[in-house]
Amino acid sequence: MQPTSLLKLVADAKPAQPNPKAAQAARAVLAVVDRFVIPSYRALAQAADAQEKAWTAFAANRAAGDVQSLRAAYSAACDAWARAQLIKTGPLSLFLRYERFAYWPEARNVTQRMLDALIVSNDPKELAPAALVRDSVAAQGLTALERLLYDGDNSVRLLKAPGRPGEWRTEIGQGIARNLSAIAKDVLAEWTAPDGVRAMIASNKGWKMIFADTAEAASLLLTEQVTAFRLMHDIKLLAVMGASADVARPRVAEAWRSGRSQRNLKLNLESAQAMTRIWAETVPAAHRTKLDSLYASALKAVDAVPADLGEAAADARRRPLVDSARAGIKAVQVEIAATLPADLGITLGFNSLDGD
Amino acid sequence: MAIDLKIDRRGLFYGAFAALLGGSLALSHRGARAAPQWPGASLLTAARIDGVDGGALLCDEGVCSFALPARAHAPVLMRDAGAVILIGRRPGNFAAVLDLEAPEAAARIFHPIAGHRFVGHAAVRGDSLFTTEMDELTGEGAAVLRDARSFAPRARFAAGIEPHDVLYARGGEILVVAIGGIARAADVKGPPINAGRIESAILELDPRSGAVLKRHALPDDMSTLSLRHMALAPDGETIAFGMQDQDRSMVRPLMGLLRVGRGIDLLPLPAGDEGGLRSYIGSVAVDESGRYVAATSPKGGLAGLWSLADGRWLGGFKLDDVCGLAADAGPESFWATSGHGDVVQMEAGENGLAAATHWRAEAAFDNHLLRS
Repeated sequence: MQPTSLLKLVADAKPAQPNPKAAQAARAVLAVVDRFVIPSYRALAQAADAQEKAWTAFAANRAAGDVQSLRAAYSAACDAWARAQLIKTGPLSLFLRYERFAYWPEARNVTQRMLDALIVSNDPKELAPAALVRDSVAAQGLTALERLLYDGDNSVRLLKAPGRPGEWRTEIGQGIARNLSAIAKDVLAEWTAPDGVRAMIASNKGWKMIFADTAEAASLLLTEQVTAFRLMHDIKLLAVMGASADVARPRVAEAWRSGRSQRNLKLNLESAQAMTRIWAETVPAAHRTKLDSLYASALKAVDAVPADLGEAAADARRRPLVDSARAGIKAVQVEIAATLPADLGITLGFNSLDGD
Repeated sequence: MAIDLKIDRRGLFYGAFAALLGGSLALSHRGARAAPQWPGASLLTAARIDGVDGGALLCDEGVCSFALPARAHAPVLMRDAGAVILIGRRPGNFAAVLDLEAPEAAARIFHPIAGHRFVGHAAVRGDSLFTTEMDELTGEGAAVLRDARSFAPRARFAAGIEPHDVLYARGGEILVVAIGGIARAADVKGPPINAGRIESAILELDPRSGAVLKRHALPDDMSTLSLRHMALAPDGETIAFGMQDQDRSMVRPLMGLLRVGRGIDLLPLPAGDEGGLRSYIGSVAVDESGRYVAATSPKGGLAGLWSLADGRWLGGFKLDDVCGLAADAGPESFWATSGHGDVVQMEAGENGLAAATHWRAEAAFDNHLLRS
């Protein structure tokens, strides 16, 4: 145990000093909203809408329909999600929309169990929008769609199966796709509406119970930037890697069935960089340069990770590739935490960052 | 050299701590400034200092830090043993026992039962220690009875999905466990499976047999609320509890009072600022007189105060990232700490909370605070 420091008495009789960087922070957060958040959600809404249309077209003629078109639409939606998922606060945090969009990491293969139960139920009422809003987050979203589309060769056979079984399975996919599209549209609308999140941030007002003013919104959004690295480092990499190759858990990797583990991570990192670049426009040039350089190294390392990230983590020969990506991502995380909040005059929470 | 423990108004940690810190350092600092001076409490909390996760002891205007294997959550005083346990934060794989007679010695570490994780809380009485633990695969939780000297597990009492805070009530006759009810993989902080219909509750258990004596649950329209943190009033029968709402699309109550063996009463949200607690309570405390209930919301940057007798909202105190909260040894007084290093002694009254003295350290203080 080390004596560390003495407490300092805070002269609390004086009113709190105004933040000298408040205007800079307000401009930065609005730029992030306009040039990163809203475009990401707009792309998500478009991809989710296209995915819904692909399922509708497939359902209209299953015999001639092409499961590959569903997989392509799913991939495009996943690409858009990997960019948008870094911003969980605001509309996406209401009604459990984040969890409904992609319930992951999942516990105990619960998505499969809930999806199996849904398939057995053969009950269209379970797919009604009201039911999907109320029901467990596990049997919906991209995680459940992946199960329908990437169950080896079975997927094509089961979706195209004649009669009610194939029809019902297709209805499930269509219902999930419809729900995803509705969530993405609602989230975009709530960001961009005249009384939406963007407008409230621009006019220094509060939005629902999420934030009270622009300063709190800036803190929430910069927190998302920092938390994105926990998602990438702690959940997408560390949880899969374990302490060594022999205790790695390949099946904990995100979207391993569709072979997207590495791609999702890469898109997350590119997306994080796009957001950081906007935040960093007004920070000292040396900090910006260092961030760019760390991002470049991390992206290079992530590019070198095999597509089957989880299997690679469990393979002593290929594991170093995964570990270098982890180290590269960690280096960016550390630098962001060390410089961005102070440079921008935005205070990040410690206890408020991660509830318990 | 062993240091005598003195239980006086400065608290149990004082003797060992003051010796560690060095009287001259603390005294010279104190002498250099006019009143107000440190009011003589000693506090212990998990903290991150210089990027290192560990714990911090605070007294006489000083901070003493020690490293731990990872981030810890709640500190629990073992008064008879002259020790404090810091339990690892969920999903935790360690608990650290700090010997207050030899604080310079490395903390003694013990671990969850096989296949389980700690969730950050424990309760001690005599030679019994209860830790709340979760199966790391299923999330099913238990109150684990341990020997308070060896920390060896003696029994596992199943307690439902995701138990969190735990305390003894009615002089040790009843063990009370808050069941957070949020189902998720216990070893990764992933999203909950059941966020829309959490089966949260507070259980009264027989601490000898683990038998459930009473289960207190919320009405069906409050199934997004997770009951997580509790504080016992001096009467030993009344428990103030705080909740976290998994859905922030509308306001729901966040605080309540439980009378052991009877039922639950919910407390109002802050008058005029119903969203001020941001759907999230991090810590709860009842003052020494039993007149006031305080709770903190780090997300709202607000410490709030209610009347325990009639449940009225009395007022709040704004402090960014406030979470740690403990009753002072004297009545109508609380201590709060924040993730930005604030240490505030707050006076409670009919108009709410007001800072009596406000200190700051270069530290991020974690969710829970222990005052001795």
